Amino acid sequence: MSKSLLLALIVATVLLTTIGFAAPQAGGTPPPAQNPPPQGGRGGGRGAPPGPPPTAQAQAPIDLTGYWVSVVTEDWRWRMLTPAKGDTASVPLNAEGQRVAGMWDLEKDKADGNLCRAFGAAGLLRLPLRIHITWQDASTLKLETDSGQQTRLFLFAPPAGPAGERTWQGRSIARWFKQTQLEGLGFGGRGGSLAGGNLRVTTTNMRAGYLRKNGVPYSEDAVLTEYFNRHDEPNGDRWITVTRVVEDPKYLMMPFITSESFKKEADASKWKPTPCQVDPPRS
Amino acid sequence: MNKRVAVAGVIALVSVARVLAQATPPAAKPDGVGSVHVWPVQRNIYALFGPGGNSTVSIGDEGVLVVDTMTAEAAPDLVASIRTISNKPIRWIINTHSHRDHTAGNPVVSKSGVYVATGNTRGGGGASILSFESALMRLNGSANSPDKVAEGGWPTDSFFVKQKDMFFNGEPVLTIHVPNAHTDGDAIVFFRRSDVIAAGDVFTPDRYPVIDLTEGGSINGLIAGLNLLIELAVPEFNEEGGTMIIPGHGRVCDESDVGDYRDMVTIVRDRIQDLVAKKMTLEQVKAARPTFDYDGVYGSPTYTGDMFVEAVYRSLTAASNPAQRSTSR
Repeated sequence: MSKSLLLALIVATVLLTTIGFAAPQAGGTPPPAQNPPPQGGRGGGRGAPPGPPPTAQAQAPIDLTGYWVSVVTEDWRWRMLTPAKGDTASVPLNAEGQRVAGMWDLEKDKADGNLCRAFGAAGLLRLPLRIHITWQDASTLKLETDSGQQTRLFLFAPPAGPAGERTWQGRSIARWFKQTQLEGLGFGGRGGSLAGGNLRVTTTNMRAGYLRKNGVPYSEDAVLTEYFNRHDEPNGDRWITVTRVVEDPKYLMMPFITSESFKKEADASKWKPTPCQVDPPRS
Repeated sequence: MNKRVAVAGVIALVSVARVLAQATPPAAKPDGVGSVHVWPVQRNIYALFGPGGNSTVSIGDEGVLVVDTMTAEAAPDLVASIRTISNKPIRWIINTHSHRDHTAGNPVVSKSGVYVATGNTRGGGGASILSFESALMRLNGSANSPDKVAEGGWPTDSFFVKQKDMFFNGEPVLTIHVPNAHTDGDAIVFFRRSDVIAAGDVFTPDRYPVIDLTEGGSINGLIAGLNLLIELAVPEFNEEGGTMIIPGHGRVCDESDVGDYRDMVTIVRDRIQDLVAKKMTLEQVKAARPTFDYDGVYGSPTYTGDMFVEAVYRSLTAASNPAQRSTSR
């Protein structure tokens, strides 16, 4: 190879590196959330006073509000009914988790007023139920369930300070999330564009509860991360798919990942709130 | 050629033949166990014939997929027969519909397999079972049906859309719903690379089609299902070979066989439709013997031409039959 050719190659390599011929991020940690730029107060125009930042509601890339019903097409017998005690199939419990699952006592839960253990945040959306999502205020999305009558608040602007007392639904921090999309062969430079959008919710500070109604446990140390995606079908059906990751160093060997689908309903006509209720397992 | 060269040549040929024989032992001819017989169809798909019906089995590196699990009595032989063609775990069961001659073996076959969890782990629970939603409801007792099986045989997964896709053993596996045909929960399973279709009881070439009106079956839905099979199948040469169709009962067929069967069903349907249009009663229609020329081929003591005629008549004259609208195929 001649010296001039070698020099040209080196120069080309440096140039490509400089202008952003960056390899896409591979696997692992997702890229940081990239919220849309503020619509007001962007500056740039002379004399335009900076306005308040847009609210989470105004920034919403997808509309999650409305009544939705869960559609159970997988794990029917573990979700629609109370499985037998000790039936922990597919949940990556460690030895301690198995032991605790084997100690489940429905009558004791009833006596202790703890039937809502099966309706805690980490297990809630795996249950067959309806959800109702509304904006409580411009920075708080509210998710209610008919079965179990639970209320979760997704805080886009969480107040500073300690989280307070643990609850079944814990403390959920939310933010809109857009995944960077590669363009073509990855030569798009500047990291590609943003497409679609979903809601990412991280929940901590939960009371210990159940991943399934038959006492498959998660602990107070559990962290729940959820991604809410919306997709609209050509036939007019509207769907939310929630991908949920439960991490629990106390009872799980590895993250427990599931996804659940919810179909939009026209109105509240099928909304029938009922308190936390757990049927006895089949013998 | 002198003698030495000839002898050396013979020795060399014998040696080569020995090496080849060691390198490629004769393929074992699978036969089956007990009441179940194994028949290799194409690529990694096998038909297993049991006393109450057929199963279709896909074997490969990922494991075993079983379409229909026969009767409870035949299920142990089914599992044993599968073990003669693969030592991989049974991962999936697909039920083409809910009737017991295709599903009562679910608990035994599932228990001998390994669950493909919908979480990110595997283990416990037996092989996963997939069916159309209405079949699930019958199998788990949610719908009042004699098809209910023990809990270990309930489908773990269901679908309610036109088609459920998965990729297994190196090929697309398309489970396609056939509305209101043999029942309202029918599915056919298309192994796309192997080019084999498990048709369930939408196609039963050894008999007239059974139309289970109490479970949502209909003559027009059944004909639509047969036409779907013909759409999917491609013959190799002179209308023979190519895509193989494993019926719920009877021998392995190709597209031409399905075509003949579809023609028979359609002709009988049209004859009865004409008689219905003339306001004939069921008894009058039976007396007209619209299946006369087919009874020798498709009639059997357990399901006679008269029984088929009655099912078609009732299907066509049902006051509200949603399947009557789905005859466009």
